[in-house]
Amino acid sequence: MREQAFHAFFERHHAELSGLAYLLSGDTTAADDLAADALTEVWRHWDRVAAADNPVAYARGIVANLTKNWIRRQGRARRGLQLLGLSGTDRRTTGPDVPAVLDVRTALRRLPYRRRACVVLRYAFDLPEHEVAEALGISVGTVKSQTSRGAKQLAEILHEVRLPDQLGGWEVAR
Amino acid sequence: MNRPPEDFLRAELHQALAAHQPDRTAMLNRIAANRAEQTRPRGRVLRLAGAALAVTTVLGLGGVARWALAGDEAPAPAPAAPPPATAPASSSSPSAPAAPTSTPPTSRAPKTTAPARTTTPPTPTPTPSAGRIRGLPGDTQVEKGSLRSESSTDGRASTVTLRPGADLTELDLVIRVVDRDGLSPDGTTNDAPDAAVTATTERQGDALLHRFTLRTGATLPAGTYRFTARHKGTTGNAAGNTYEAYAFSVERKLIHIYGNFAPH
Repeated sequence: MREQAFHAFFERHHAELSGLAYLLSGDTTAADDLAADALTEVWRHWDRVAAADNPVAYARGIVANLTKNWIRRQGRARRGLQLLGLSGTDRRTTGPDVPAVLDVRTALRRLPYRRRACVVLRYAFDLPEHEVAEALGISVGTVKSQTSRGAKQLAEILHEVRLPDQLGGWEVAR
Repeated sequence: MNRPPEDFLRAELHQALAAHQPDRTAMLNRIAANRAEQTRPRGRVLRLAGAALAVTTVLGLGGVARWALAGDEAPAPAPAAPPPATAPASSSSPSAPAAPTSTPPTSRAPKTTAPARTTTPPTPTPTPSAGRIRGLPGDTQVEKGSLRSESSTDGRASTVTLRPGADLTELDLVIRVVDRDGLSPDGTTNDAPDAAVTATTERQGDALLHRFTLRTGATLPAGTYRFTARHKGTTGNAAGNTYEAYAFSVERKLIHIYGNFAPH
């Protein structure tokens, strides 16, 4: 029973959860792992999940949390490498003036995590505000403010980089 | 910016999302691996117990075989019986495997004792109140790992408050109330959600044992829970009343705590 129900849940939602982890983390491989780990949590607490009003919201929340922890770990590892002088030149030394083709993922990564999560859930998954609030465990008001700030910031980052490109194509160098 | 930024962002994000192809098989494999890992630590204990059981069984069967072979020969005058196999009766230490200390004597085993050794009780999961009474003043462990406990009593009701810091997947709590002058149980209550914890009461010697057990498969989320046993009759002195609990947390830890209701 439980296995069947969980498997159905997996089939229905694994792609979405992996996509969420992908946009939040910016890492394809880690995304599948993070979503799978979240689904393991879902399986472990299946009774509670199944009893919840919105089981997917619960799963999305787990993905968001696991991804946040993963990013934190990545940051720690990177800082450790920098301390040891193993990571080569810091990419940030190239400065913002040098244009780079900026992927949406890279732009997203510049957003504070909660803003990023709100923007992704609202705009990539088209979830209503109350479902975003449910998944992230925050109030609808917070979702509104975080989304609007995040959207503004993300749009600015993207425009800043892409405006010149719109004149002459992607490879244009300023 | 001609278009509203929302539409622009929506299009960008949809596009980015579409670029990601989840690897369904990899995900299924990882889930399977995660699940296998979760069950491993307990499996280890079981394997240990199983190995110990196998050793004892083989040794015991050897005794039976020798006894069967020896059966044809003229029966020797029965010597004094060797010391009986020590049964692993102690259940308070879960990790101790059923010790195969009861190896049969190396000489021809007398037929009267060998067969009895073939059965060994499997290592039981620890339960409170099975061995010596834990939790008496001076012998307490009210906190262990992520689980904390407190107790209170008002003469009529003895309450144990458990505060698991991590979800519990197993819980077996016994409140032991010493019956001095005709005490009778007056029900139990607990505030675990979803009726996940059931309670039974039994009399054992001069004490009433109230046992609270988490339903198999249920999980007790981290939080604060009160377990109360009530009594009718004169209960006056709470000294000597104890509680003891075994719990298994999602951190894969077996937790053992015990305490009493003596005034602090």
